[in-house]
Amino acid sequence: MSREAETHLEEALDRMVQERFPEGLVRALEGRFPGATYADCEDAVSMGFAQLVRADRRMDNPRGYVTTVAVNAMRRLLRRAALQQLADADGNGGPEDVADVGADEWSDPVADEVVADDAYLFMQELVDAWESRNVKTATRLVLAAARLGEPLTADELAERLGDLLHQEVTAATARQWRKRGLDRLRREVVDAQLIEDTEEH
Amino acid sequence: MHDGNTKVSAATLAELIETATVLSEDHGELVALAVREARDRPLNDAQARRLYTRILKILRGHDAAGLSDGDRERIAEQVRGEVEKVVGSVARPAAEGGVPFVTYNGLSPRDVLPVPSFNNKTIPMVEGYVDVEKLQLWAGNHRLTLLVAEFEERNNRPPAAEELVKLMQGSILMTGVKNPTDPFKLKPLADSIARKGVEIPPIVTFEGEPKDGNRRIAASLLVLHGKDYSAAEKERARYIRVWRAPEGTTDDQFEAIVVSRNFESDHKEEWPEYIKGRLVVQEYELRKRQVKGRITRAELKRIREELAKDFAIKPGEVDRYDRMVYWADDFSAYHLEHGREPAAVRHKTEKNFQWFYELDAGRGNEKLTRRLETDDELKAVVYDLMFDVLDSGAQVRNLYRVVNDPETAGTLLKAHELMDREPHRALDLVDDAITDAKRRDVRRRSIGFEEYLKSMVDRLGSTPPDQWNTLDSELLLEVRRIMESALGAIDAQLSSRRSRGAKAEA
Repeated sequence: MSREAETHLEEALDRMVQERFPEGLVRALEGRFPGATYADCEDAVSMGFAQLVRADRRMDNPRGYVTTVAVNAMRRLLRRAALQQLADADGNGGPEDVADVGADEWSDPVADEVVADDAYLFMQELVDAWESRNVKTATRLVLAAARLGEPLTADELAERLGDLLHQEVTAATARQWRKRGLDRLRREVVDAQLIEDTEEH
Repeated sequence: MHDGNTKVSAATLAELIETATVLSEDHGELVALAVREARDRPLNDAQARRLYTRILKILRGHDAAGLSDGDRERIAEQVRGEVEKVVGSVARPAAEGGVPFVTYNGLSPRDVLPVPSFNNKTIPMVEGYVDVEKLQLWAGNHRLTLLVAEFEERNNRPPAAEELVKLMQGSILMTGVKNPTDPFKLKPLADSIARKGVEIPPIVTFEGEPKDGNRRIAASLLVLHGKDYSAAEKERARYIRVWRAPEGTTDDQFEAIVVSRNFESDHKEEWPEYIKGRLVVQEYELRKRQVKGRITRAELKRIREELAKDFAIKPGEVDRYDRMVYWADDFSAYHLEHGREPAAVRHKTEKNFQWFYELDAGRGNEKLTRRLETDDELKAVVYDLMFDVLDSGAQVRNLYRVVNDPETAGTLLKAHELMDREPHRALDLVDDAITDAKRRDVRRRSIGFEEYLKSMVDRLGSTPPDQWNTLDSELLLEVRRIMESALGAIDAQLSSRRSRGAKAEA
């Protein structure tokens, strides 16, 4: 990152602290996730800031970045807590599927990586078979960002799509392609009975 | 493409799609909310200090790998200074010691305004949502006094929090409980909470003990841990809105709350049955019409269940209203056909709507309504008497006994003949017919009673003591209740015989 961009980010971060955005975000997360503890919300906000610092890149909306990472962290924290609760409920380590999911997901980070990589490759393969180049490219980018745990705003997506497709892409169009791509992906894995359909109809 | 043999787990696929969705969503609303929350609801001192220490350490220490100890100390000092500055930049609330609130349904904790008054005592309250599992029932609740005392006698200790819940839900049974399966009638309340949440906020102490609303909380827990409720219903029951009293609220203030919430009527007038009945049946008919083709029994059952849910009644009540409205309409049609004034017919039907439930009394073919379906003459007699003579639902309820006995049925016909000339005499005849029919009914039932008692004595006398072990508590309580009342009747009979014998000897 250039010195100028670095200064810009540092200033933005300082301003966020001065305006007490972190505590506001803790409160907002408490409201969004009423089942979570205060400590979960504090952890999630800290993760947001830690990832922002690690990302080490210029961004237009650091508040949005921290918030997105924190929401994703909350979701993961709550999922972990739910799995733990299920495992605790069963004295011998829980039913097979729960034990499987829990163990794969949390107890062995190396195995986690392998499993997540497999899922990512599998999905990329599905997407590669699509005909629409626009939706395909948008979905590949979104999946790649998800694999890295990196937020990808509609503006950023539009910018990258413009580079890759050599055409002008607006944020609204990027948002539309992203939605269509994720919907189609979800539909394909549901139809293949790889995951359960949990969408509201 | 997917070859059907993938080893990728469903959980990982779902996780990746969900992550992709969350990370690419616009969280602008949450950012805006966070800005507002920072202004309106700052954290308390300790929470803020810890949060900013963590964040400023991340921000200032991320490239500290090559720093000397002195530099590190300088950064740590800088972080401490910045933390104090931001923590001290705003007035912060005192640390929460009470039951924790959560922001839910868009409601953050707030003062109840105007400040509520209970029995002329003004007590400031804070309103907000809490996780119902964070509340502990109040053992001193007047409804629970007897059960708690009995529990203490049996166990030499007061009931624990979860035992209080079980006492209310009926899974720990004490003697003298009238309805062992649901001693506090929590089930209907739980169904209502599952449907629309807790509407009237319980009033809790600062620590979360409910001084008003024990039943609502026990019923919410029933939903939360029950098998019959959906995830959405459980969610609705988990977070309930309460009014939390301030720390240091005194006993006399709580007493005022209890008295005002339990003794003062809210003067709410329930809708009359005929309005409820007509609304339910109207909707029932509409939903039946919406089904294409023939309606199966299963579909009817489903419609009834959905309707019951929507109107906060039991599925059986849909049936009951359906029959009542059917007979009410039949009654009206009959009288309109016979030239009665429409307003008078409407008034009579609505005023005595409950009678159309009583009309359906009896079992199977004994029912008067079965006979009315096929016997127009009987219908004329019954409907005319209902319009001009009868004056209570109890009379209508017993008409089936009267028409099932030829002798009393004859009296009813006489009453019908006399009705126009001597309405009072006609009413007396109906009452006489009912009394006679009941007596005959009892006499009929008494046939074989002696044989039945003999067989019962044999059966109970030869029952080994360990055979009672397998019976459930509900049945045992029921047997005890019946036996106690039978013993009372037997004692009274024997005592009366003794005194008659004594008189005879004298």
